[in-house]
Amino acid sequence: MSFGDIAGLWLATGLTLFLFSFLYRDNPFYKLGEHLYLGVTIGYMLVKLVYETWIPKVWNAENYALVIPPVIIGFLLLTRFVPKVSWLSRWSFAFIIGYGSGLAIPATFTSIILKQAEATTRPLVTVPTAAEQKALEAAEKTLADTRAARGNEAPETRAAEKAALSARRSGTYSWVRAYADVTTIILFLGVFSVLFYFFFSIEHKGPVRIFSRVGVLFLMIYFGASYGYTVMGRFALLYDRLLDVRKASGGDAWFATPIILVLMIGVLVWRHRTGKASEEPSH
Amino acid sequence: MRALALLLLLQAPLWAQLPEGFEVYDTPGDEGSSALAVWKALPKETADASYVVWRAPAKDGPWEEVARFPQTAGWKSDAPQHFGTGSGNKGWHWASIPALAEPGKPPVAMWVKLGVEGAGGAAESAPAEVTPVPNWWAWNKLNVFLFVVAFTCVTFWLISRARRDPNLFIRRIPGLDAMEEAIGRATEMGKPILYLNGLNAMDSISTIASTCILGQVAKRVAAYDTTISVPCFDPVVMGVSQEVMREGFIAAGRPDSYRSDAAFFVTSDQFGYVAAVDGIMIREKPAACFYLGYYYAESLLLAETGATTGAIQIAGTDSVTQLPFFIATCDYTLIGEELYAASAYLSREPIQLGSLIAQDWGKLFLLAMILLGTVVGSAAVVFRAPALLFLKDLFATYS
Amino acid sequence: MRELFEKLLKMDRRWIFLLVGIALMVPILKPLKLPGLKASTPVQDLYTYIEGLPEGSKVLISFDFDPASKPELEPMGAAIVRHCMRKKLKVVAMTLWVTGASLAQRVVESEATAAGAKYGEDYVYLGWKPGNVAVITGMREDIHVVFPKDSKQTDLSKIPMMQDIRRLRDFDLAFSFAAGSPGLDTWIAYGADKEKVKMGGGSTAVNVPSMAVFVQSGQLVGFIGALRGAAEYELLMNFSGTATRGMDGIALGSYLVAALIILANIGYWLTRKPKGVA
Repeated sequence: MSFGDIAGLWLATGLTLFLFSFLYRDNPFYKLGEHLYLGVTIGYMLVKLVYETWIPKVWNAENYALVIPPVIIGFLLLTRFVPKVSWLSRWSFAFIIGYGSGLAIPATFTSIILKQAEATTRPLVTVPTAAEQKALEAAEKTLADTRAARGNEAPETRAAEKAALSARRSGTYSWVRAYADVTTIILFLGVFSVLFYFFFSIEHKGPVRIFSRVGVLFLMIYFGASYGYTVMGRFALLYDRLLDVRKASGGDAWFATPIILVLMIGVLVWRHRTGKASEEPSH
Repeated sequence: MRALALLLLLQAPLWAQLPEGFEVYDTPGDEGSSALAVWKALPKETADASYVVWRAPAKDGPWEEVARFPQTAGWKSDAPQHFGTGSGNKGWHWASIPALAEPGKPPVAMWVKLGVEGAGGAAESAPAEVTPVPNWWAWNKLNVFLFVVAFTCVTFWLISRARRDPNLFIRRIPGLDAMEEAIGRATEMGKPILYLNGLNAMDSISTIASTCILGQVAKRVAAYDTTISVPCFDPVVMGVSQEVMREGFIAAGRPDSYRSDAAFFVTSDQFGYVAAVDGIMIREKPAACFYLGYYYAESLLLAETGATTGAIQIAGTDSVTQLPFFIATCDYTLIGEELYAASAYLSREPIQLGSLIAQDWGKLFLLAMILLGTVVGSAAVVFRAPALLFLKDLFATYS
Repeated sequence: MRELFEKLLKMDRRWIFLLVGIALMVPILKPLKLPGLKASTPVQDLYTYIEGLPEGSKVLISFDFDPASKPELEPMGAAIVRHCMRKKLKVVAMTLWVTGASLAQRVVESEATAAGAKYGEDYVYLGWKPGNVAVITGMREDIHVVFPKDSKQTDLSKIPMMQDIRRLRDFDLAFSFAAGSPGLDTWIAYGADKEKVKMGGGSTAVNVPSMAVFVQSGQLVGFIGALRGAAEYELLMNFSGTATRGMDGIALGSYLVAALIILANIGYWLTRKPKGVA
């Protein structure tokens, strides 16, 4: 590892441990880490904006006449800092909201509402089509012929059996089809009952109430799944950090993890002893 | 004889049959980036033979291949966005030809020709001229346009109705009863109520809804003579909270009980805010905690601490990712739109009320369409009448 | 029994933090190679779709995440780039997240270098441009206007593989690996659906339930859900990367949380005060 790599590992590990120290209680290491994170992000964004937008799109613009109006609209946003003329920023907001909703409403309506409605609009029951039934007859015939010609154990017979089995699944009302139908029905029930739950202009009484309770059940299943996924996601993040902490604990990283840990614990114990830590709220 | 055979072989390409009805025209409803070519299927088509489409800037070339596919593919019925779902599409092929003009540059004419290549030889049609131009109207988005216009009209109409009659019916959200119960319990126990507005600024709908509800809560608090504290994350939200609470106290006839320091600014640092509010909860042990508004990762930290103090907890947020955490830790949670509905129910503010009912209309329309589509679709399958499936295309085709 | 559960329910939560830390650290120190990983249908579909693309097909990959979501999304991004390189597809990479610009570059360059791909002919990295939705709508019109230069400041018009890639619709497949918004749903609504471009993608675990609807509706050809999805993809690709190695720890952590939830529920029922008694 080069010196630069080692310095990077020390920095990454140090900041990780600083932020993890919040699990014990709020402390200056955590605050330092948090503020550094915010500062670095904002600095990075500023540099990127200047070099990726301001210089190529505004400063070196091909046609200044096209650039000036948006730049003026952008600058009007800054009038919010001057209370007397802050009303000017409304012009910018009017532009942003007008442009944004003009762009968003049709796109969202098409991709989110119409497409999803289309996917929900499915036949609740499916029956084999004429073509599928024909394919089943053909497959059964091939199987019988192959069996007669090659016997029961030949690989060709096995292949024909497999083909006949899959043809049977689509050519008859099989469990595969039943499973798909049940899924469709559950989906349909879910969409309907949840939307019913969010109806505000009718009283939820009698059957409507029962139906909207079903909607709540669907919502709870969704939230349960979401909760589980969130936990899993957080573990993935923790795993990655622990991996780095482990990587930095060896001799090739100059024992970054143990050294930083010992120093941190030392300072925290010292602060605890001198009573400085009691000013911070704990968990 | 050999010479004749050779001559026949050389002539062979001319024997391949060309399709009828070859036509090229500008793609309707686009920005001028392509043209469409259509032609009738040959009486006998095989997967080994292909259709080829070329384009060129002039009638005599140079020709560039832009599409090639087997004769058994490229059907008009595969592209309802261009040709709809009518039965006239049957037995017709199509191809899209990219325009020669660079994007944003003036339209340029081009020549297009169709070829057939296969075991039987090859043949080419006569070139046809076309100029792809940008169009004013995208007809395939007509359904979106109509829906947006209709929905806007309905919304405006319902808002104006709500202005004239603020008592338009919306159902009472059960969470509101829970709130009232919580305020009552706080009064009995002689302990304060903690009310949080979320972490978003005043431009967020959930914060607006939250402050509207705060006004009504303040009215009850004033009537019962309970104490309330509202730690704020945003200074502007603090100002608005103070104002709505003052109005609530006045409406309840207790302007003397109002204290402006009931709503106070804490910090705009996410976890600093959490630490401070958690501290308040542990020290003051409120009888009820309300978390209404938009929350981020702090939701669980707040609600969990509140739960350990034994307070009745009521949450309401449209932050979908945080809802599971509130549901797990609170006694009652207003889910998503219920937060807006609760606010409209309590405040009777015409814009909130009107748009809430308009959304119900939108949902009803959508449900009716899905129901109709599902019933007809199921009937089509059970009775083997595929013609009924056209309804499904209402969503698909023109979007 | 009841006292034990009462104690457990009031346990300092820092003990749980410690347990979770141990559960995740053990497999790092000693890999367990837990069995049972199997590709789910959406992951398999994505794999099959890429397998079916002919050599030289054009693929757009947008790395829409920041360092905070890197552990969840980088492995799947790397697996897809690796798959594209293996299939000799032309890859155009970019990002809509400013803080993801260097992350994306690192993933693409390391996978491309490992596969021996040539910059400008087999892959290009366009970098970041501000505007979110405006970038996507701009790319529908002309990519060369939105990104006049690539991340190395070379004119797009001078890059060989960009000659016949002018618009979004020129791609045979587009991807977004998204940690939030702008992300997968933005690409679907403003890009893929409008231009009828096939779209695949992946998201962080938090967003999996809300993205799953796009798989069901067919707006995505396939979908990779978080680190687990990435591990499934690595399985299909027949290599063991960060995601596969991470599965042990995540499995142990998940078992621990599940056990704690069950325990806490039993505790709740046992320690619950009978009704009517205050």
